[in-house]
Amino acid sequence: MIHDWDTHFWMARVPSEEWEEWISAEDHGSHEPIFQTANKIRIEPITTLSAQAILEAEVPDGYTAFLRTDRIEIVMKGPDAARVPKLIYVMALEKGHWDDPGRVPLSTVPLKDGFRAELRIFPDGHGEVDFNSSGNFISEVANMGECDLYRFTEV
Amino acid sequence: MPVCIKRAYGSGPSEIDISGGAEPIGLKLKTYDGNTTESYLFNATHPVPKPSSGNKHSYTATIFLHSDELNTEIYSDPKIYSGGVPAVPDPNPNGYVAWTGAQIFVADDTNDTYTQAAGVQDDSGTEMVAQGLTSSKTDLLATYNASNMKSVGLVGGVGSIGPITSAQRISKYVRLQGTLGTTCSAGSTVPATIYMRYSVTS
Repeated sequence: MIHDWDTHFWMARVPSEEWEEWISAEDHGSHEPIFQTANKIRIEPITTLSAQAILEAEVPDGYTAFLRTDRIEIVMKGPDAARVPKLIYVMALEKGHWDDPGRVPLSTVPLKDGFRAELRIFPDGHGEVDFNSSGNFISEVANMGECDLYRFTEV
Repeated sequence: MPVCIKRAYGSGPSEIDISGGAEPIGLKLKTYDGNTTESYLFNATHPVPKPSSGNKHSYTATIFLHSDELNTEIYSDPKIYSGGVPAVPDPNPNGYVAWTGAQIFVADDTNDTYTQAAGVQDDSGTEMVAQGLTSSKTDLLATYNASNMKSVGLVGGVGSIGPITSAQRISKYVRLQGTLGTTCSAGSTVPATIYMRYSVTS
């Protein structure tokens, strides 16, 4: 589902007899079984007003993909509240199998063989990407004109 | 946002959204908790007095995550943390005082049972461990930050919840209490920031 406050949405390439078939958050949830067949996942800006960053990863055999949107609500508001992200789009891969991974708290999945990437969206609309890996994935960024493409690749 | 932070107050409890809308109410710690808006309004009534000895406490505040987003979202990993102990700004046109001698504690225990805060109105709340709201507590501003968040837990202790079919509390109750020592300065402390973060399977 894409909410009216979302700045980005996910897409996933799934096996198909066609040349390529992509599903997205527009019609699917990443907790659906079809998402677990994806061999490539992306997080993309919804409009040109969104932070112009794309996150992309191939999903190697034997890995499980997790997508989460973390939201931050303010209990007590000091001046620094304007300087922290409001939304965080999380892309994670981890080697292994989880039943119903869309319902697994990501905090219970140790980073042993995989990566965690976060696209942090700040109140002023700008975005920052953070990447943590177990060591066998790297992050590369390429400028695609108006947009930065962050690719997370197994090495 | 369909998810907000609510504060539970009074004997019912009553509930008020403190994070939503164009001008969120936020959390005000007072020496009062009753069945009126005075329990939560962000004003100068019912302040915590500076102690001449020992400590004075605010009444313990109870907050939780609430969702009215139906039939779509799966929630997990609710957490609470802070922006740290804020420094006095320079310049300081509002005359804020430092957090010396002042702390905000978070109960180490979270649960699904609401208990109204106790205390002596306009003097001191009952300290949260003494009231039996938790077995222990932690200095929130000094301990929990974006690199070290406190897990809150979902209602019922499940690993994930949703899609929900009716509006409901989705996290356990979290309890916060302000505590003043004799070294505190009279006045308003520099505004601190406290956050709650949660994951949605997108």
